[in-house]
Amino acid sequence: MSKAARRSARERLREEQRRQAERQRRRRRLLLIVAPIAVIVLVVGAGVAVQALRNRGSEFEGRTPPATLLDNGSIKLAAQGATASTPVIDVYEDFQCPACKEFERINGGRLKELAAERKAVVVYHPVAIIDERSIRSGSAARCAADAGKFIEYHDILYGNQPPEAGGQGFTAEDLKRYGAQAGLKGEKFAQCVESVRYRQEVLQRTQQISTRYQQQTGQGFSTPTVYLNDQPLDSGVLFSADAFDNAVQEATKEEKK
Amino acid sequence: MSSVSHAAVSIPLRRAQPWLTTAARVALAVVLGWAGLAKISSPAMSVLSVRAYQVLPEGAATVVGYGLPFLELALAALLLAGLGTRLAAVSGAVLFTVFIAGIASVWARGLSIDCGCFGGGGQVDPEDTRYLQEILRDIGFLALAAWVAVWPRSRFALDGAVNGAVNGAVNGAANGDDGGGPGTTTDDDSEGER
Repeated sequence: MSKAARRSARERLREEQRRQAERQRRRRRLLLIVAPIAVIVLVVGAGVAVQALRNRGSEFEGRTPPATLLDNGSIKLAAQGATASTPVIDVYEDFQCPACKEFERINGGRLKELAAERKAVVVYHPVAIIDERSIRSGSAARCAADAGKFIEYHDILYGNQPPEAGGQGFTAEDLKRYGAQAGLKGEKFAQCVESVRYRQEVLQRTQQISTRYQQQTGQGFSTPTVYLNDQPLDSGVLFSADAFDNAVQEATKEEKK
Repeated sequence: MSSVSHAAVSIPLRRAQPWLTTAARVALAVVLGWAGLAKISSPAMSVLSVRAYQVLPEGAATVVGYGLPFLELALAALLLAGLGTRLAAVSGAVLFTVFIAGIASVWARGLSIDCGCFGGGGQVDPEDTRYLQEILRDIGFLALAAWVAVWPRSRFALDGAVNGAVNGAVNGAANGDDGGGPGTTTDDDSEGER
């Protein structure tokens, strides 16, 4: 083999090696784009599926225990046999507030179930933090409580909650119509709704709990606020069926100690 | 004269850059990981805090509420591992830009919400809004992400391990950076000479 031929063979070999290195480099570069994208897509996809499964609501098919109207206008749900050591759950809710509707969807059925099974005493406190729409609906729910239909009315209101942004919210007409659905067809209920009879009661209650909550937590009051044995629950607990169940169970254990 | 002073400044900076990027990667991973974990426990609350911005339609808000914490976690993991550093940093920068735009839009529309950046979220009292702080904080995170996106080459990165074998031969171009720095390049020229 001539010198020239040897050199060109060597050059060819080098050229081939260079190409190989270039191919390898491209492959790795591609890997560094494809691998992270694959990681992101897989993690996010799996995450969405898992969260959708975890975010199911609670329903209670059984019989809701009797509701009692308390002196301060709040409504207590307690089965017979509930004792002083049964955990007490206080629910401060605004029928116009989307987060309250969400709490109701997730744990509303559970609350009734807990009350029915004597595992908790549940007290509903209608408050108004948004505006006139909240006052109207809160007062109307109180009118329904006068006629012993609070729970039914409460469920219908959340089932028909108008959007928070824009719109008139619950009108007097809506509120009377929902009353009729709950069996409140009399003139008395209609007048109570139209005159917003419990405006002051709802506003006063809102004022009281705002002050109390602010003093207790140092944070602004918002709805839903739920107290378990006089301790406010974190929103992380409120909007998770499992966490809420655990919190109630813990409270039950503590009471029994 | 000017070239001398330029070199005097840039050589230490060149040396420090991979370390600075590693620090930025870790900082971003902590921030994103924390943000993701804080939101994961309650999908419902996560959806509510997205809805509170009143930007996305119902269905989209739900998907974002479910998926966002996992996107944050995935980016945190990639940044921590240093895998696809540039891509992860660019995604992070886009994410922070979207957050800043969202908060600014809420502020401009006069809504009163918590940004829900690290859990929480939803309506708050008007005097409890923290829009300016939230935006400034996110601008800081955006700057970190931008740094990593511009200079992705760093220490303790899987990218380095993946690229390492060829980095020396191709002058570190695989990472989109000029010149492999100390540590990230394994001298692989010998392979070509064998």
